[in-house]
Amino acid sequence: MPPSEAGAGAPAAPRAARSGPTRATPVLLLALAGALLAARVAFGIYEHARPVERADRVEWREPAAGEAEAREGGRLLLYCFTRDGDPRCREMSREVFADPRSAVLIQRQFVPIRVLDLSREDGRNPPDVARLEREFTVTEFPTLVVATPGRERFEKQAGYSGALGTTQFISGAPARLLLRGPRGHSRAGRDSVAGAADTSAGVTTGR
Amino acid sequence: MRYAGPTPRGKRRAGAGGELARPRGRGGLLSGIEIQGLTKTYRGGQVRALDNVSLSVRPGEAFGIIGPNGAGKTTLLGCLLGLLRPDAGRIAVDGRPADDLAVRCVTGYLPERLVLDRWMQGLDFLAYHHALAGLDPARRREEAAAALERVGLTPADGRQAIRRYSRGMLQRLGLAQALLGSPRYLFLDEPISGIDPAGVMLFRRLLSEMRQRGATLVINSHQLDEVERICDRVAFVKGGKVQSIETLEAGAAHARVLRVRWGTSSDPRAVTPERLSVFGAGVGASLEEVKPPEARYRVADDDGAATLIETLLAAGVRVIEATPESGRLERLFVEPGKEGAK
Amino acid sequence: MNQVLIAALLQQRARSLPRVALMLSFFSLPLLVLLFARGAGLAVMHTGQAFAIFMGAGLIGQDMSSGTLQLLFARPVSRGEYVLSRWLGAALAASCLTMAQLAIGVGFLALHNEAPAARELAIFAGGQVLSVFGTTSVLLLFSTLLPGTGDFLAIIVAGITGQALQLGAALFKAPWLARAGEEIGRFVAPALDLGALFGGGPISWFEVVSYFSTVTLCLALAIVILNRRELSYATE
Repeated sequence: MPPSEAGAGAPAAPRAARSGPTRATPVLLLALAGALLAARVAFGIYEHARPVERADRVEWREPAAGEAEAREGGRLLLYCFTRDGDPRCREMSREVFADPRSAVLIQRQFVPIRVLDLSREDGRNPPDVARLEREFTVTEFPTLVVATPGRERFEKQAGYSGALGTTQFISGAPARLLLRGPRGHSRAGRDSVAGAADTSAGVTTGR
Repeated sequence: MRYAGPTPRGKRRAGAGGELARPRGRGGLLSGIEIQGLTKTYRGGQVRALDNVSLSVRPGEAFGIIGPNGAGKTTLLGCLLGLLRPDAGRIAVDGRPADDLAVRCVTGYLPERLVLDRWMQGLDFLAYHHALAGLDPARRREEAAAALERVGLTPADGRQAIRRYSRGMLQRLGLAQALLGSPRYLFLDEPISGIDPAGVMLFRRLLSEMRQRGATLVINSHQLDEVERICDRVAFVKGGKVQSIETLEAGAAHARVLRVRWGTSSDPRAVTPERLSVFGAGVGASLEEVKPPEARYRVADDDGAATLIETLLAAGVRVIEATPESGRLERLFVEPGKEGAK
Repeated sequence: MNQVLIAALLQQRARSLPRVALMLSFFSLPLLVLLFARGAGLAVMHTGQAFAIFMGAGLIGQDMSSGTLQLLFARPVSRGEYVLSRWLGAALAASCLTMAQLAIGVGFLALHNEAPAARELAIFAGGQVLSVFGTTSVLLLFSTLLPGTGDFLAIIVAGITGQALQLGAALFKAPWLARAGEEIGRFVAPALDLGALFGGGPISWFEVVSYFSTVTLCLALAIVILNRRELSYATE
């Protein structure tokens, strides 16, 4: 057959393999999607009542060791004032510190220090915990404080404002500290109070 | 309105070397295209584009669809191709629903608006559609190149990006892709739009070849003379309804006005208005107007026209020209009482 | 899946200069950071979602807007096949870009003796691929609803809306707002924390199911929506 007539043969018989509507409803896929959606709702309700405790990915330091490390390396400090068993503290741990991206961000930018309040369990705190709570006027848990290595400037966020608010506070704090003078402050988060720490006993400069 | 016309004219299928196509429907049911009670509305039923349309297209037939703008022709074609879902009614192509994949396998479509993949080269575009059609990959390049050549495009055109194609080239490329795999059903929407005269002749030849091989053609076109030339039957669609289905074979009943011109050597006694009127009445034609050396007669059909001419010649009227005043289909577009007849 | 459609999608993307330029930028910039900066680690390589967006924007909407779908669906191609092939093609291409970038990036990290452990790398790579497939499925759904590359805009707007709701939750002390914002964020950027999944600790089945729920729902709805689309200029 000459090339010009190639493809111009007798009308084609149906290609046997293909049949069925061009607009077939994806029944299986819809069923799967529906089942997964139902499961999503069910698990959502279940885990809202019984949250899954995820491993904290941040390598927390003790206060003394962390402060020394920060001074040596000139790195910012991130204090996490927390209480065992506090639901908001656990929520923050689960949603922020167990998140791999947040954990990486924290570990790269700060020396993270966990300050565990034991006043409820033991009636009083260890001296360094009490000192830090006094220094930063911590009255609520959890409270996050981002401070310079010498702790002359700091940013504080009291309470837990959700994963996004918390990570925004953490990621924005270094810039805010940089822009402020030694004794300035800024507001951040829900009930945050920022101030300048006076290393003299017990005095916290207000706004 | 359902119409079962007479046997289509001429050009029957045992063409040059082609086997007679044997379309089969599912379970041996009807082949060709069957449309029953087709209704399609838009805008929540406010616009009734198709209203209870019923017609059938026989296998191997060339079927035209004509009508004024907004008649529903494009909607009808869209439903036939499964691009639109009718609100009611049924369409069967080879006994299968119009949107069945098996029907798509034997369908070629040339849309009116040729929106092709502009980033592709012409040859690649044909190869792409060749692949989509599920045709033999081993012959893909060869058949794509052949399709290109068939529609009068050069290999250089095939290496050009489609976005650089002219309107005529696009139309040729569009036809080339529609003809890939020699489909059994060819849906053509304004097939010669934007084509130069040489292209028109090429298109006619290609469509004629397809018909010779038994393909069924459905043509939507405003080019009435082309429709007349190609089609066996024509549906006139207006207001979403099939107003009439015309058979275009020779001898079909088709009233029209015939303009007759005679030469100066005609018998002067024969070419008076009275005589001319009598001649016409004798063969069932009515004299509309006389303006020597021309007269206008309304005749019932082709046979009537031939008989009239024979009668005039026998009476000494030296007929030198006999021309239908309008195409067979034009009259469908003229509203009654506005034809200008005197 | 229809290999012809997938191949055509890849060719189409490769010939789109804006897309290629954007993808090259997102491909090379993180690598430059890794090459010249120490301590960056894998954190700069979270580009899977970006590749998915650049590859997937306008996945269906562009073809719908341009009118090429009419001719395509005159071929024996079902609408579901078309949708899934476009999704798979875009997701595979974006995944390949992500993995290629990751491979080069790990090479650069190794130059600085900072190459991650194999397990960490595998978990990261797996997470990126899941993010790619998830994002592409969301783009696919938006693309069946919006013309052109409106899906790109929609995904940006939805992401911003989710974040705004979460911030609003802190402002108005409304936990339900935070939850709503999180769900929107989870829908718009489906991802799975493989580290938590394979870390030996308790598994959040909600997270796992949410991811697959989003992907399957997007795919299913995209097909259903396209099935209902009238593809003829008679509708114009």
